[in-house]
Amino acid sequence: MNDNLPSYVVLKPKTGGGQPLTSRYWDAGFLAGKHNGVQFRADQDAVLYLNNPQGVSRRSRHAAIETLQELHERQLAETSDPSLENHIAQYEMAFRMQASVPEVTDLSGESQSTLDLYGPNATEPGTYAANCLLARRLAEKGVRFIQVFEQGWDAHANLPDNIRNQTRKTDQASAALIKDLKMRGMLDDTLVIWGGEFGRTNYSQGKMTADNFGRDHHPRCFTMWMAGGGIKPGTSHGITDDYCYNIVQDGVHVHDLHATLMHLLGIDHERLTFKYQGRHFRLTDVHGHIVKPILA
Amino acid sequence: MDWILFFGRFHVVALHLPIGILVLAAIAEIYYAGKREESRPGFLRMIWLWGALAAAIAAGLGYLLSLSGGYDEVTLERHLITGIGTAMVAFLCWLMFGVIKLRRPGAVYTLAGLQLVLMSVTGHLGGNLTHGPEYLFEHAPNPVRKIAGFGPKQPARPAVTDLAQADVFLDIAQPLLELRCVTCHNPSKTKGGLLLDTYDHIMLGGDTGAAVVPGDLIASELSIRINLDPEHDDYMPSGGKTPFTESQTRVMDWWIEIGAPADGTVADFAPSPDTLALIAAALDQPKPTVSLTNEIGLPKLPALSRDVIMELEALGFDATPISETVTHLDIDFYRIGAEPITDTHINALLKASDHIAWLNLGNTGLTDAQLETIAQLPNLLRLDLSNNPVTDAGISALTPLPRLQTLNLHHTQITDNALPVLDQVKSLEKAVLWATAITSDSAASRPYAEIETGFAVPDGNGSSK
Repeated sequence: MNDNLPSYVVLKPKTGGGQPLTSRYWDAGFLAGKHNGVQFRADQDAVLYLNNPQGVSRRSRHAAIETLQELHERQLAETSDPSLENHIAQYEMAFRMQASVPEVTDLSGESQSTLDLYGPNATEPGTYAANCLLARRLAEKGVRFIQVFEQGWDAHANLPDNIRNQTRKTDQASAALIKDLKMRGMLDDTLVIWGGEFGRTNYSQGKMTADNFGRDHHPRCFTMWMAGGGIKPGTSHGITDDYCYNIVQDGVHVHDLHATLMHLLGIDHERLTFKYQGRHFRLTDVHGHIVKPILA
Repeated sequence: MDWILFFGRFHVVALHLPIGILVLAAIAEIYYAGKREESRPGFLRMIWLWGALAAAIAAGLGYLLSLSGGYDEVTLERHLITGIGTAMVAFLCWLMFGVIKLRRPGAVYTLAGLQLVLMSVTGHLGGNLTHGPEYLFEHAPNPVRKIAGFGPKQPARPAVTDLAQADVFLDIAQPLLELRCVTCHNPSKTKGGLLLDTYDHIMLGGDTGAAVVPGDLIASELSIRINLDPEHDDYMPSGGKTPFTESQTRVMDWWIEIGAPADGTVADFAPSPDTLALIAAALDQPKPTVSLTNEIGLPKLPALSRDVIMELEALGFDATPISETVTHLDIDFYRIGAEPITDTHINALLKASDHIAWLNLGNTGLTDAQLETIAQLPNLLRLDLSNNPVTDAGISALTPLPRLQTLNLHHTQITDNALPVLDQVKSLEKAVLWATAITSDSAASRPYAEIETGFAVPDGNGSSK
C-alpha cells in the first residue's frame, strides 16, 4: 500500500448518462471515514483543491498542516472524538497527494503500444479505456482498491443499440487491462472483478419491434467474472435453468463471493471482525463459504 | 566369471557346516580322551572326515568368492591361510584320531584344541570381512573394546524426539546409509570402490563416479541405483539384501536435492508437509501434526520486531506481514519524483533479511550495485525489479538467492546474456521479461521465461461513440 495515495480510488465516466452515481456508493459504511473512496476526476485536477492557493509555498503549506494537526491532537485529547483522527489523516493525505496524484495521472510515460492496447480512447480522460489504464497505473503504485464505474446498462428499452454501444466502450479496454497486468507480471497478485448488482430478464419488456425492445431487472441470477489474483483461469461456475430464470446448480451468494474475495486477499472471513456500536461484525455476517472450485 | 561368483556366494552357506561338525568332533574327542576305548563311539572317525571334507569345500568356495574382489586384502589373506589350515588340521585329526588311533590325552587336547582355535580365528576373520571389523565389538562394553583394541564407543546420538530439530545428515542420511549400505561400503569391504561410512567418503564417490552430487539427482549414482527396478543388475542394495523402503528412498533423494548438507536441522531446509511426512515414515517417527512451513512454503518464523518494521516504514517502505499466519513480509517501495532509492534504504532491508519474502522495488531507480545486497535475502520468493536501470551485470549477483521463484524484469536493460545467469537460479519459476532486449527466440527454451505481448485488434472495433 502506498501511503501517498488513497487506499481506495474511484474512477467514473466523465459523461455519465443512465442512473446517477453518487458518493454514497463509495463511502466506508461503518468503517472510519478515512477509508472512504477518493474519486479521481477526469480532468486536469484529478483531485480538487489539491493545489496550493496562489502565493502559498509547499513548505508553508506543510507548516500550516503541522500546526493544524497539533490543534487537532489537543482537541482529540480532550474530546476523544474519533472523527478528529480522520481529519488529521485526511489533511496529511491531501498534502502528500499534491505530489503523488499528478504523477500517477500523467500518461506521458506510457508507450504507444500500451495506449493502442486500450484502444483509441485511452488518452481521452473519463472514458472507460482511460479509466482502465489509470486503474493499472494506480495498482502499480500500490493503491489497494480501485473501482471503475461505467453507467448505462439499465436498458428497459432500446436494448439492441444500447448493448452494442456499451460493449464497444468496454470490451477492448477490459481485455487490455488484464493483458497489460499480465505483461507486467502483475496479474498474479491483482484481482480483476467485473460485476454489477443484478441481472436482466431473458424476456422482453415494453415495446417490442425488430430493432427496439428492453429487458427488466432480474435479481434471481446473474453473472460476474474475475481474472488474476488466485482465480482459476478459463472456468465457469454455476448453472441456471434453460430459461435463465433460476439457479439450478452451484449458486454463489454475495456472502460466498465476499468470503472468496477475502480468502484471495489473505483474510479469514470467519476471523476478521470490526467492532461497531458494541458488536463485533464479520464482513460476511454469519454466512459465506469460500467457492473453492474457482480458486487456482 | 558368473559361474565362479555363482558358486562363490555359496561360501557363506557352506561355511557353517564344518563349524558345527568340527566343534562337535573336537569336543567329543576331548571328552573321550583318557576314557576306555570301548566307550568311544566308532562313528567319531566319520565325523572327523565329514568335517574335514566340509571345511575343504568351504575353503574352495571361499576362494571363488574372494575373486569377486572388494575385500580388505590383509584380512582376506589371513582368512585364506587360516581357512586352509583349518581344513588341513581337520584331515590331520581324522588321520590321527580315526586311522592311527592316537589316544594320549595330552596329544588329543593339543590337536583338538588347535583345531578349535584355528577354526574360531578363521570364522572371526570371515565375519570381519563381511560385517566390518567394528561389527563384533560395536556394542561391547568399553573395557572389552579396549582389550579388543578398539577405542571407547562413540556416544550414540540421542534418539530423534523433535523431527524439526533432527540433523539432516547425522540423524537422517547417515543412519539410513548405515542401515542399508555400509555393510558392503566400508573400509574393509569397499564394494565398487565406494565408501559410505563417513561424510567425506560419501563425497569421494566410487569406481563408477560420484555417488552424490549435491542438488543433482540425475548425476548422483547413489540416487540412480536405489531408484532402479529391483530386478536391474545395478540395483542397490544388491544380492537380495533388504532394500530401502519407498519413503527411505525418497528421503535419501531429498537429502541430495537440498544439497547433501553435512549438517543443519530439518527445519533449516523447510521441507513441505509431504516431505516431512516422508522423513517421519523413513525414521519410524509418528506423523508430524504441525507443519514446519507456512502457507508460502517458508520455514515458520517468529514475527519480526515491531521496531524494525517501524524503522523500515520511517524510511518509506511499506512492510506488511503477508497474512495473519505468515510472518514473512511483503515489502514495497513507492517513490515520488525521480529521486532514486538510496543505499541506506537497501542496507536497512538486511535488518529484516530472514523475513522478506516478497519485495517490490519496481520503479525505484535501483542500480546494479544494490542488487548485491538484495542477494543476501535468503527467503526471497518474489522480486520485482521492473522499470529500473538494471543490467546483466546486476542480475548476475542474484544467483545466490536460494528460493527465488518470481522475478519481474520488464523495462530493465537486461539482454540475452542474462539468461544463462537466470538458468542458475534453480528455484526460478517465472521471470517476466517483456520490454527488455531479450528475444523470444532465446527465451523459448527457458520454461521460466515469460514474454507476454499485446493483442491485435481487428479494424473497425474499439472506438466508442
